[in-house]
Amino acid sequence: MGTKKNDKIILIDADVLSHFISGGQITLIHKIFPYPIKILNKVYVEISRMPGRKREVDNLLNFKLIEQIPFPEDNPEIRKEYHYIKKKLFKGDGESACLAVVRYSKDILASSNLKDTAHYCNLHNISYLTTMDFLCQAVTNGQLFESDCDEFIQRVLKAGSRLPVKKWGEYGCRELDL
Amino acid sequence: MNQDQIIGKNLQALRKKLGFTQDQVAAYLQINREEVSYYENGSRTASTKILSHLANLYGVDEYDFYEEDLDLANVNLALAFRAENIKSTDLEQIAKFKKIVRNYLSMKSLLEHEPTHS
Repeated sequence: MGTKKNDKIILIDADVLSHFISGGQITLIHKIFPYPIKILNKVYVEISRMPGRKREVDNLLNFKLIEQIPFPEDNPEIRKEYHYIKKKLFKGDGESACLAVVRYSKDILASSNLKDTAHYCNLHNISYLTTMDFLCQAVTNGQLFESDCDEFIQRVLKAGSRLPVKKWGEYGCRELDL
Repeated sequence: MNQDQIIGKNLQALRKKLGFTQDQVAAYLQINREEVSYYENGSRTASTKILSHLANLYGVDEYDFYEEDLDLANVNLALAFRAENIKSTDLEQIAKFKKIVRNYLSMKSLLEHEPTHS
């Protein structure tokens, strides 16, 4: 699937990247949706601290499959929102930064930690994608088979991460409006 | 007042309340004293990283710096004590300890807000 130029971007959080690394499909991630994937420096710092993750993300950056962008320190609205989210929604550094940026842009959030993030996204009309949305789209595109998704899920769960289902067949894909 | 001025006013008030000098704060942040002064008078924007370090040192949340009417008595100072004759290395340790206290308070608050499952 080609990348749309001069359009919105997918701002990715550490959990989705981590899932795709554990799931063994990290080289596919940038091909699933037609939008470039970017990672905030604050998210990069966070994922670099996770064991075995830095090298994988550095490879993606070096091969320009994803791009690192700085947190917009010069935007007072985003800065304030970032601090608000950290304090009031008890979010970590990277996730707070992603939410604050997507709130004031047309970008798409990629995050799987949706316990109360989904509420924030709905409140502010933010488009978001979860790890499962990526898998659904990859199946629709013919990039993954259902058996690949099952294997992906098993690998992610074995690595100690959480997903909403234990088998692909248990998951119902939602309609996306991006 | 713009955002930088509000933040600056609060940075100065908190620093003075805790008895730190600009020199001490500058040494802790590893920047020049003048830069601390710029942040406090609102003529320069403090980065989110600088605000995070200062929040740890002062025992508050970064978002408290945005309060237009910051009543210092009501700010949750995680551990407020006056710091006289303290070296910058001591300040680092104090900031780390306050961060732990602050995280503990956040987690406590989070658990209190967690819905009860039946």
